[in-house]
Amino acid sequence: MKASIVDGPFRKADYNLFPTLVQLYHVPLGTKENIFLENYTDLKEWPSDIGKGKTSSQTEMNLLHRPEMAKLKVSITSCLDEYCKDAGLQQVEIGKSWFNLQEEDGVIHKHRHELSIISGAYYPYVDDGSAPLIFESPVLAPKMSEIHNKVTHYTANNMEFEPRPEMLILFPSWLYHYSIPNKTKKRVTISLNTYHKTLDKQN
Amino acid sequence: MSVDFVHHQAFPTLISTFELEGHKDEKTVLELIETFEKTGNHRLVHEGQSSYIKGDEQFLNDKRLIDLWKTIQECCDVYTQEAGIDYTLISTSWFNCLYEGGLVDPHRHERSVISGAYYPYVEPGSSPLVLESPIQSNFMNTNSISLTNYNRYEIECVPKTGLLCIFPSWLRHSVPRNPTQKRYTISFNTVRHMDRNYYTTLRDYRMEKHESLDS
Repeated sequence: MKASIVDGPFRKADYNLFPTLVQLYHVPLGTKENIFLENYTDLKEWPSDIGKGKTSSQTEMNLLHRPEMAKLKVSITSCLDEYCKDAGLQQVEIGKSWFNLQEEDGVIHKHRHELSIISGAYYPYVDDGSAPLIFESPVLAPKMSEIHNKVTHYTANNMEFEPRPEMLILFPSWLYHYSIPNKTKKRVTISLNTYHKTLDKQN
Repeated sequence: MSVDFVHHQAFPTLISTFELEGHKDEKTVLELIETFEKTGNHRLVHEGQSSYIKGDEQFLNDKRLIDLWKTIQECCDVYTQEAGIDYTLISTSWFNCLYEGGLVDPHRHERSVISGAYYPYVEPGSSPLVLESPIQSNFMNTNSISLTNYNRYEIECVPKTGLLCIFPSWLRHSVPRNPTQKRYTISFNTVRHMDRNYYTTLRDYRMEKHESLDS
């Protein structure tokens, strides 16, 4: 792809190259899903090397495929379709999905989602002031000869997203992310992974 | 269904281009390049000549090019200010001449902060400067079906006479085989301005006199 350089005289042109696409959506939670999630209790503690909090990932990895979550799954799938179109990717389907609860001091250590294409975090319910989801810059490694004197789009080591109720964050699964210790009583997340539709069906 | 959304183009890499065509030193720089005696073969440059021999060359420090040095240095300051990194100082500089069939292998400029390519003369249709995506190694599990800002592996910066392109030194880049007779580039590296005293040969000509005036 060619960078388009303006015709005729100009003084300066800046190009923001090779960015990573993170998308935020507002996805309303239906009454049926809300009741189901409020009564969801099949949770176990995270292994300590992953974080501190409760999760369904040890027992339930198909949360969004349950009939009670059908409407939410359709909404999230529509957002994934849009992400794929914007990013130039082949369409994906929701694969594994699971429920997470972080209470006070709950934390998730840095990780990424291998084998997945796009990952997502949907917040059906979060208290105000809950811990942000933090993405780590994928271009930190080569910046060994420069000193940053202010945070800009180009120097940021990480990017924080404060969760809100009914917010969905979509991001490439290869992007490292984590959350810092939570200071509120309730921070609920539905996490999801995806796979390419036709490609995986052919295999 | 009402779905509001926001795009975040996270962690981009800044490339700045500056239009310097018609600079007062343009003619002088061409004369210097075309009469330069100490060119040779560089391992990265094929079918061309380079003044990069030892790696400590300071072509832009020639007294006859001081105004061009100052202009390029000012562009570096604009870049670092925009990017949010410490000011830099031009450290080494050299020129490459590519002829028909000439190319430059992929490389990056270790131990430099930002680098640049200034084109004092290029014939129309000359090869682009190709900048590689620093995040492409993460794309091993995705299947792209259309090219976007988020999945491209490289971008081509098409040179024209007078163009200056500044980019982070860690960004891998190359020049594919050139189809024209003449493509001249002045390349340069930089160090942190605050570190300039560690280098005995570096001067900031905006504050310090040229070494030719040393008594």
